[in-house]
Amino acid sequence: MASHSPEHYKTHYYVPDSSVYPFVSSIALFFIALGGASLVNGYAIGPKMMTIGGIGLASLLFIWFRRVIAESPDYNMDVDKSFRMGMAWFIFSEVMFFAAFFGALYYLRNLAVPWLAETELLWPGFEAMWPSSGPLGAQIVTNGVPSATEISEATKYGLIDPLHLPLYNTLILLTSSVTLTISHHALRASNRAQTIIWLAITVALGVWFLALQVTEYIEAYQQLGLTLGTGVYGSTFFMLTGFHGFHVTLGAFILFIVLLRCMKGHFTPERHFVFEAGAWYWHFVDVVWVGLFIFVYIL
Amino acid sequence: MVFPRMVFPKPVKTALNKLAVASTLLTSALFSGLAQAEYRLNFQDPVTSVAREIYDLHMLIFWICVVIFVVVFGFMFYSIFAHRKSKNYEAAQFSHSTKVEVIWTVIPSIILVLMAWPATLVLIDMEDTTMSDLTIKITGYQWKWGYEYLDSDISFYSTLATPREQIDQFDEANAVPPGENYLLEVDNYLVVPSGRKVRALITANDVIHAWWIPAFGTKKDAIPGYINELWFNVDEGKEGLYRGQCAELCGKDHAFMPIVAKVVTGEEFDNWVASGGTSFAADAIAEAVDGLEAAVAEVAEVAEQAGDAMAEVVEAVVPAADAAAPEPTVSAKTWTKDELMEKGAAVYQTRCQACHGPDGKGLPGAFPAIAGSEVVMGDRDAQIDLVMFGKAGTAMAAFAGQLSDEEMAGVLTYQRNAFGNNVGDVVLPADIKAKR
Amino acid sequence: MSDTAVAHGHDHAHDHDHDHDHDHKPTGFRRWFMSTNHKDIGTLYLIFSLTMLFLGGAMALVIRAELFQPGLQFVDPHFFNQMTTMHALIMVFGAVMPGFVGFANWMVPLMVGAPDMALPRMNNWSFWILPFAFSILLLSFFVPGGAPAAGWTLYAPLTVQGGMSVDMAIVAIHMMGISSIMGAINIIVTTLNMRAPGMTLMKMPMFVWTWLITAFLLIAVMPVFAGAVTMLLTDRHFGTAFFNPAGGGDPVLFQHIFWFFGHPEVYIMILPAFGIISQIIPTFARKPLFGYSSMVFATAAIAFLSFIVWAHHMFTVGMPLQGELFFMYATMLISVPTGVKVFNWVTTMWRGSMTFETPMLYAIGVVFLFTMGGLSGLMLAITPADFQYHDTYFVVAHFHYVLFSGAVMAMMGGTFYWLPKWCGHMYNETLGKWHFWLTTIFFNITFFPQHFLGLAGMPRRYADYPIQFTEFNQWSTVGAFGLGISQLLFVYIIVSTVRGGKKATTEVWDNPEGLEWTVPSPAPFHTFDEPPVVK
Ligand code: HEA
Ligand code: HEA
Ligand code: HEC
Ligand code: CUA
Ligand SMILES: [Cu+2]
Repeated sequence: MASHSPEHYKTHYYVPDSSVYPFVSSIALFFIALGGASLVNGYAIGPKMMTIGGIGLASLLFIWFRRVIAESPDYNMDVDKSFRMGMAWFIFSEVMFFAAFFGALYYLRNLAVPWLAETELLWPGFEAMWPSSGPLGAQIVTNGVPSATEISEATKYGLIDPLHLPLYNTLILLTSSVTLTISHHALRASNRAQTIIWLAITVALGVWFLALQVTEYIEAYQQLGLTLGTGVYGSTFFMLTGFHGFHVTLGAFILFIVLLRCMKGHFTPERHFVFEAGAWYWHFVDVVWVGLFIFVYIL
Repeated sequence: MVFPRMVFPKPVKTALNKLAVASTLLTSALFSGLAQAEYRLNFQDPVTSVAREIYDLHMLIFWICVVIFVVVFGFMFYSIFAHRKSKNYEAAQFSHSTKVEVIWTVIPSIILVLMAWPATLVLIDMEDTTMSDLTIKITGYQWKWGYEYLDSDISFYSTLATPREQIDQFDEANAVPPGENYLLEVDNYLVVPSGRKVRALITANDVIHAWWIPAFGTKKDAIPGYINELWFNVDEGKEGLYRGQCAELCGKDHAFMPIVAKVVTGEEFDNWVASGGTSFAADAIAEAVDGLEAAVAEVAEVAEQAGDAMAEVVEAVVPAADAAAPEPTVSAKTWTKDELMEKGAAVYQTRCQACHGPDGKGLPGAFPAIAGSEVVMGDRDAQIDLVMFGKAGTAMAAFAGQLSDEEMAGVLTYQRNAFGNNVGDVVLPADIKAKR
Repeated sequence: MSDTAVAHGHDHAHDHDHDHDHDHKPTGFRRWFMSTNHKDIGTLYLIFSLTMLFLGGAMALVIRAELFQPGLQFVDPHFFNQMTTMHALIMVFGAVMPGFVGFANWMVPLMVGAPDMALPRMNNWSFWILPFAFSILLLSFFVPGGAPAAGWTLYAPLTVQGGMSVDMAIVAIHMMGISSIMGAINIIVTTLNMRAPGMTLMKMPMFVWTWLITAFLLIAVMPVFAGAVTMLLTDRHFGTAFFNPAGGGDPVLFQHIFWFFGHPEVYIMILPAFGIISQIIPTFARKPLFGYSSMVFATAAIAFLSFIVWAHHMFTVGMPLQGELFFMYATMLISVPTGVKVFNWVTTMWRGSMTFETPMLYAIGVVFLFTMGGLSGLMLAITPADFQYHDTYFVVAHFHYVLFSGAVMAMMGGTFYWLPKWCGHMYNETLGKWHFWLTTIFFNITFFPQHFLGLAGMPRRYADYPIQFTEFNQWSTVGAFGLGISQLLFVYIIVSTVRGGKKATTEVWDNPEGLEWTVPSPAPFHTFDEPPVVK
């Protein structure tokens, strides 16, 4: 209750006072969702609603988290543990989200395409292979960056060379996991300067990864003719890498906030839940990338 | 036999009113034995070996379940009657026993094995489509079935033949009571021989459907882009008509795409194939008309008892029955715009309205409107091509094989000039012929 | 569960000390819209669920009215399909799931001796997302083409064909998913982290156990559902080909992903019901729950198996033989742990000293009727036979037996069981019994004949049917209207009990087990600020 003193919460579980944030953020979500549905159906109101909702949600989360930060000295270790468990289960839910897309990739590649190839009566001449964009899809012309003339015909597409940008990206992300761990050790050893430096490097690596990913997308669309619409290959490729990229963005953002808070000296060697949560998230994103690198690019 | 419907008061307009009516009915008229149609409690009588195996399996597991149920709840009800506080029964305080826990894990597992074994055998048998005598490709469309006999050149479509007047009961005054085979009658039967193994390749054109004839023990989804197989072999001596329905939600008219198979002897079947597969087409139409006329007769009878109220209905019905009668084929002649429009309106209302709507407004998101359509009001050739050859990958099927030159010309002309699309020109049967 | 005797002397003293503080409930907007109190949020969930039950029920009544006789009398087939789809979406995601979350909110902290849910503000967020998600879903009635009409299973490519309403359903599902996942995280964390001293895992009440496992299922499968509808969205608008064979996709892929979510989902809707039953029966049999630990393991086994049986909904899509066999065997296996639960309940009653207050009537009704639904489920699991049952009213009968007489009736029983604790008044026992009997009888009139309809060959999702199915459809419609009207009595009982009536004691029932019966009725706004000690 409001009337409880901070001392009370040192020994008791922190039960926050009533709060308007959840209600208002639900309204913001409503705008984002309805706006999104309108947007894809070509209603001009859609983007506006999404903007309103997006700004609303972002500012609310900002206020909300600021409040949590302000309260955090009052939390006892049980609250800290609840947060950790909450984060761990949240990451599990993300794992399952990606599992759906990996499952789709597996199914399409190993079952659907071969079955289509067996269906001579409907799709004469279609042969099973991967990458594939289906019986009526485009044909692959080449591995790696083809010449502009080769790709000019609208019905053909090229593939991304896994040993080029994707390999760099793998190395970047793996490195970033290491730098993040170094930073964490520094934090636990109360070495603030080291913590900040290594964390900053991690964030920078994340941004670099994203920049390369954007480059790769531009190349795919403009030079390779590989798009979201390039049959199942394009669909799975962009869906998996796209959602992964979105998660990297989120992770980098979280780590950036953590970095700012490090600079403000919010964390102690014992209590730095947000740092750890951000780190878990980052490692998770990293592991997903390794999965992507193997199943989407290499195999 | 006919289902005499409940007599509603004068035309009920809003759904709300109708709900009120329904609740009145519920409290009064329901159990007066009005429904006379034969009902069944169990599967239809099987006429193929597979259907028989399924039937036996079904009864086996059913009885096992009944026994389990009776035993378990025998204990429970005994306990409920004997171990109650009102009888001053003292509660025992035991709370576990590893022995019984093991027993009631093991015994059910054994029962399951007893069920799984025959099920596996039946399943293996069902999946074996080899050594078939003939192959038919079945394609589901929104909302009709297409049949192709792959061993001969025969192919046709099969559409619901129940007249609209029986289905639409919104407006009491113009409605006709459902006939005996209401919703189970088609314009073209699927013709299959008895005593031969028929292999069916099932696919779909637009969305998923499922092809099901209960008496054959066959149900398989029809999936666009993929082919599923099933087989059946109807027992000799079981010739006749067998009816089934689409069994996977496929949109608005899911309930209106029945399947009727006419099983004939092998010899009759060979003759049928030799004749190019037409000799039974008229039968189906005649059946539909019979049904309608029987319905009319029945209504008349009921009406006599019910008084004048129904006489009105009968009058409305008779022309409808006439309209459903097969029309003599029109030979080459010159067509005026009015004739084309009239013909086109009829074709439109039977073939196109399901998707594009009776008023040409379509169904937003799924089916485009004809009213104001750029395709319709634009280039004539493009419109003809679209309707004749369809648009791949969409529900808009090729109608060239389903409509005669005259019908095609009519419906195209109709679209160009109806629903406020006053383009003004006509499409002639000759234009269609030229494109075939 | 072994004994949970509590040292609560200390507790009471504490309550008195802090009285000024504890009864300081916020009021009005602050109380109901900004709550961080598990009891208020639980109440909100329960009210929401009941509202949705009526809304979804009203749609069911439109379905039943149209099916009263052959021919189309009230609605056209397209609108009929919208009703079927929305009825199911509202019942599943609006009535049953939030209803059980409401029970969890109220009871889990009370049962484990926690002062509140672990993450109270997030708890409120989980709730408030729901009304907005359902507003979007319901608004879809008003866009061109009307609400989604492809069935609650949203199968592609029929949903690829639909209008804007499909997108609205997709975004609404995303919101419901966020809500469910946050709610589930909260429940897991509360049970794992906030149990009172001495409350070991194997001493937790069965209801808490079932919810712990349910919450795990939710976190595991809601994101998968989100993935499925996301692919649907991109197929509809961004040219991807997941479900489009021309581009190498497969419509059946959608079904696989949907049912990977969908089957665990049905256990999400039944496990908490099992939990409620396992609380009620020992109380009225005056005998401890038989086989507590085997109950826990059975629940876990059901949850585990639920991940490997999904394709039993798709036996007719033409899977390879080995696939069909695997999914048949796995599905049949679920009967074993479920059977263990049924046998344990019956044995708990065995040689008890039973009385039959309304909650007990409900518990017995649920065990009896759920088992009927379970056995018809077992019949469905037999692949060759399912070829005949599939997509007929036999399936509709099966799942209403497990869903209505399993899940919904368990919630009704739970309501009667805990209502005195929630509001401090006893409900009227006579009316409660009337409600039970009316509901049970009308329920069976509605759904029992549907078994016959299905066997005789009536496909589901049909706006109109051949005349030989008329008779049983009429029974079913009459039953449905009776069932609907009986629920008005339910609302009446709840409202009148909340507003007044005989004061309930702390224990309410005759010596029931569990921490919730150690706090006064109504349960104070804040409980267990000092954790109780469980011996
Ligand atoms: C609460 C929800 C719930 C529950 C608990 C269940 C429980 C079960 N369900 Fe059901 N089911 C649904 C909800 C549920 N179902 C829904 C909503 C659908 C349709 C979805 C749609 O298409 O829209 C469906 C559809 C469905 C199908 C697909 C049918 C089809 O479309 O063709 C199948 C097939 O196997 C099935 C099987 C089972 C089985 C084997 C169980 C088992 O868990 C049952 C186990 C219980 C028992 C068996 C009884 C008690 C046991 C004993 C007394 C022990 C002794 C028993 C033996 C030894 C046999 N269900
Ligand atoms: C928990 C889930 C749940 C519940 C509780 C119910 C409850 C009911 N369902 Fe449900 N139903 C489903 C889940 C559920 N259903 C699902 C998943 C499907 C499959 C959908 C699909 O195929 O996609 C389905 C499909 C389905 C069908 C098949 C439709 C078809 O195939 O076309 C039918 C037909 O009879 C039906 C009937 C009923 C009835 C009569 C009730 C009754 O129990 C309802 C009782 C009524 C009330 C409780 C409401 C009381 C209301 C009033 C008194 C009116 C007051 C008015 C206002 C407030 C405006 N349902
Ligand atoms: C099963 C549903 C269905 C039926 C039946 C059907 N159509 Fe269509 N029709 C469609 C669909 C879907 C499209 C949209 C195709 C596309 O995506 O371009 C379409 C498009 C059209 C168009 C182009 C409209 C436009 O503006 O793009 C015309 C003209 C048309 N149909 C005429 C007909 C005629 C004439 C008939 C009957 C002989 C008919 N259709 C029957 C589904 C159907
Ligand atoms: Cu075709 Cu249902
Ligand atoms: Cu299932």
